[in-house]
Amino acid sequence: MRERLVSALRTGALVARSDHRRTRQTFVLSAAAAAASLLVALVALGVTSGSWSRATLPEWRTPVLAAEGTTWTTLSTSQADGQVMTVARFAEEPGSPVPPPAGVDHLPAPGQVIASPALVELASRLDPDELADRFPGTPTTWGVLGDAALTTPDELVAFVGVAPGDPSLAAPLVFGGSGPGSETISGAVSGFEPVPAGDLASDTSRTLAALGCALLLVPVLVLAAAGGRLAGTRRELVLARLRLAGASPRQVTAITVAETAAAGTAGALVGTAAYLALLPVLARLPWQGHPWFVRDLVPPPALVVAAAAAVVVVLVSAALSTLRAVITSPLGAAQLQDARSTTAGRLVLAVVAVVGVLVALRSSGALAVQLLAVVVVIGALNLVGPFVVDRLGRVLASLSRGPAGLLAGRALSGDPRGTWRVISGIVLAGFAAGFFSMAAIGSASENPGAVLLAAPTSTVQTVVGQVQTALGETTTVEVLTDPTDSGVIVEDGVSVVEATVPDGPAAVDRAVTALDGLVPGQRPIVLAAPDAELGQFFDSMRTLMLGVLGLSFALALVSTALTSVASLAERREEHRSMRTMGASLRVVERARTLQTIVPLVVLSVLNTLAGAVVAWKVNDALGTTSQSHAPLVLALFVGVGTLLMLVVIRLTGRNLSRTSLPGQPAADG
Amino acid sequence: MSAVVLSGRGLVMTYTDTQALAGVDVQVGRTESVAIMGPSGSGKSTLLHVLAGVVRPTAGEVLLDGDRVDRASEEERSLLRRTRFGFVFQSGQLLPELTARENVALPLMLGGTSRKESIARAEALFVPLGLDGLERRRPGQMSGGQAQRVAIARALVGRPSVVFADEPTGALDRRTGSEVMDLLTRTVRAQGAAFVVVTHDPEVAAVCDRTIHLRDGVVLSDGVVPPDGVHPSSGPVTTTGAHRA
Repeated sequence: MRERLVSALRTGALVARSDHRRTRQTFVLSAAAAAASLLVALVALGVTSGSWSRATLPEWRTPVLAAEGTTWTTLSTSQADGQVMTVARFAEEPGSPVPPPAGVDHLPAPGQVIASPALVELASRLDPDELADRFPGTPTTWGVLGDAALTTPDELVAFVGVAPGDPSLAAPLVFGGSGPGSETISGAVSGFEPVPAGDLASDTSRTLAALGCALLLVPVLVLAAAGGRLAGTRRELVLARLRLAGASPRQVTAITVAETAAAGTAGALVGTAAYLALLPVLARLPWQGHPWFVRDLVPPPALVVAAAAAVVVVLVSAALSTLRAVITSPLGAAQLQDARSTTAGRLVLAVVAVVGVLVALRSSGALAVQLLAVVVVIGALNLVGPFVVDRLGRVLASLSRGPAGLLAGRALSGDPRGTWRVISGIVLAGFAAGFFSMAAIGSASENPGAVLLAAPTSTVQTVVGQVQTALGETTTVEVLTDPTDSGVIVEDGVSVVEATVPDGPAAVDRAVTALDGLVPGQRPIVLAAPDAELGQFFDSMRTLMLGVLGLSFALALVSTALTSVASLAERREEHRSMRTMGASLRVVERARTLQTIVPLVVLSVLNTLAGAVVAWKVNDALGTTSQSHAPLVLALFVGVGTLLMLVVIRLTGRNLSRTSLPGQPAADG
Repeated sequence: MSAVVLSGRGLVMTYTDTQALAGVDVQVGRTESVAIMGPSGSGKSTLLHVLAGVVRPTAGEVLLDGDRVDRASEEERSLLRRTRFGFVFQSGQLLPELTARENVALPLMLGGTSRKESIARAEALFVPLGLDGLERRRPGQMSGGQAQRVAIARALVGRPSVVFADEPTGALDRRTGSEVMDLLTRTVRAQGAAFVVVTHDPEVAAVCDRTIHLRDGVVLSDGVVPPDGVHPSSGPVTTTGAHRA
C-alpha cells in the first residue's frame, strides 16, 4: 500500500513537472495565500494574547497588604503632560525580608528615584517645574525600571524611596473621583504578587481583541481556501489523466494532499517569519492608546503551530473539494451536472439565528453575549449569502436583455457558493464597518483645568493662601462647599481646595508639581475625563475598527485577485468558445464584472446595514448612542469597496484578451 | 462545385517556431461540404481557424463572397463570425450555466437580437434537431449526443453562410457520432450553407462532398470522395489547391 502511494506521488510529481511554469506559479500563489492568511491570523492572535498579558498587572501594583510589617508602600496616580502617571512610594526598615517586586533588584532608598524609561524621557524634556521637581534629584540621577515592572513601554511610573514614617506614606484624606490622583493604595506590605486586573478596561480589551479575531476569521479562511482552489482545473486535468492511467481515488487524493500541504507549509513558514519580522513595527501600533512590548505580541508557540496547521488544513480541504469530479469518475465532470442551487432552508436557519441573537441581547448586555451575537450574525450572513447570490442571479438573468447580464446571472445561480466565496471577504468587512461605525461612540469630553487638594478643615484657609501664592493670581482658588459634587468623598474635619488653572497640560502639570507635598501626605487630584475608562474603551473600538477593516479589506482583495486569476484559467475554454462564435472581448469582460459587482454591491449594502442594526442593538444594551456620521462612513465603505474590487477585476482581467484568444496552436495542428 | 463562397490563397501561418501552414490554396462552394483531414500537427485546425477569421494568416488572403477577411479588424471579424459563420467543436463547448435554449440563442443575442426573439428562434430549431423537451436543461444534464445537437443548433441559428466543425464527433461513440454527423450535414445542406469540417475520421469525411488532405502545412490532395470512401494516401485526385512539390 505504502509503495503504491509513493509511486503515485512520484508519478504525480512527474506529471506536474510536465507543466513546470504553471506548477511553480500555482505553488507560489498558494503558498502566498497561506502566508498572508497565517500572518493576519497571527496578528489577531498576537493582539488577543497581548491583551491578556496586559491584563495581568505587574507585581508592584498589587502589594499584599498586612496589618504590620517592615516595608510600606503608597501607590497614587497623578498626571504629567496629559498622561496618567503612577507614583509608588516605598519605605523599608534595614534588613526587611520582603523581596522587591519584578522589574527592580532593590527598592529605592530614601531620596532615591527609579523611573520608567518613558518618565525619564518626559521629565528630561519638560520644564522641571512641570514634572521633575515633584521628585528628588534630577532625571539624570534616577534609576531606570525594568520592563517587568511595566505594562506598556510608554507607561509613566516612578518608584520613590522615603523613610519609614514619612508623611507621604499616610492614608489620604480624600477618596473617590475618577481622574489621576484618585487611585490610592497605602499600608504595610508582606510581599508582591501579580494578579489579573479585572477592571472594565482590561476586560474590554480582551473582549474586543477576541471580537477582532472572530471578525477576521472568515476573511482568513476565505483567503486560505482561495489558495487551495487556485489550481482546481489544472489539477483536475492532471489527476484525471492519472486516474485514466490507473491511479486509485486514494492515490489521487494523496497526490493532492502532498502538493497543497507542501505549499501550505511553505506559506506557513513564510507567514510566521513575516510576523516575527513585523513584530517591532506592530508593537508601535497603539492599543488602548499605548504601544506594545514585543514580548506581549508573541502568541504561545502551541497557538502558532495550531494556527499554522489550521491554515494548511483549510488549504488542503479546499484543494480536495475541487477533486470530487475526478475522484468520482476518471473522465471528471467539467460541466455542471446540475445547478448548485440553494434552498430557502438557509434563509430560515439564518432568521432563526438572528432572532435568537436579538432575544439573547434583550436579556443580557454582557460583553460575552455581544461577542457571541456578532459571531452568530456572521455565521447567519454566511448561510444567507449564497442564497441571496442565487436569487440575485435568477433575477439578473430574467431581467437582462443582453448576453452579458444573462451570462452573469446564470453564472451566479449556477455556482452561488463559489461567487459568495469571492465576495464574502468584502461583504463581511462591510458588516464590520457597519458594526463599528455605529458602535464607535464619541469619547468623553475632557476638563483638565481643575486640581483638588485635601487639607484638614482647621488649616484649610492657610492652605488656600499657600495654593494661591504657589499658582499665582490667574488661578481661582476656593474651598468646595460640597466635595461630592466633584465626585470625591472626605472624612469629617477634612476640606477640599479646588484650584482652577488655565487650560493646557503644562499649566496643570505646574499646578500639580506646586501642590505636591504642600499638605503632608496629600497629593493633588486632577479632575480629568469623567469616564476615562469609557474613553479607552472607545479608543480600543476605533483601533479595532481600523485594524479589522484594513486587514479584512486587504485579505478580501487578495482573495478576489487569486480567485479571479483561477477563474480566468478555469473558464479559458468557455471564453475562447464565446470569442470564436463572435462575442467581443467587451461582452466577456462585462459578464465577468457583473458577475462579481452586482452581488457585491447588493450584499455589501445589506450586510453593512445588518452590521449597523447589530451595533444599534449593542448600543441599546449599553445605553450609549451612535456616531452621527456613521451613514457617511458606511456609504464611503461600500463605494470604496466596490471601486477597489473593480480595479482588482480589471487588473486580473488584463490577460483576458490573450487567454481568451481563439485559434492558438492546437494539439492536432 | 457550386459558386465559391469562401476561398484561401497562398495561406501561410507561422507561430513562434512552427510553420503550421506553408502556402495553402482552398476553395469552398456555396452549398459544398468539405472535409479537412491529416495527421496530428498537419495544420488542419489552423486552416479552419484562418478560414473562419479566428486568426489572421501570416501571409495569403481569405475571401468571403469576394471580401477580404484577412484584412478585417478584430471587431469586423467578430461580426463576421457572429453573422456569417457557425461553429461546432469536439465537446460542444456549450456554456455550462446556460440552458440549452439560451446556449442556442446566445449568438443571436451577441449580434444584438432581442432576447425574446433570440429564444423564439432558438426554440424553433429544437424539434427539427430532435431536442424537443430539452430546452431548459443545462449541458451537464444532457448526453454527449444531445449536447452536440444543441451545439449544431447554436451553429445554425444565425443562418450562417459557412458552418465550421472541428472534430464534431470526436467525443461521441460510433453510432451517436454517425447520427450527429448525418444530422449536421443534412441541416447545413437544408439551410443552403457551406460546411467545412476538420476530422480524423474517414466516415465523417465520407459524408462530405470533397476531402482535403494536409501534411506539414501543405495540401497533399484535394478531391471528390471516391464511392468507397477510401482516400489515396498521396497524390492529387481533383486539384484545386497547392501541392507539395
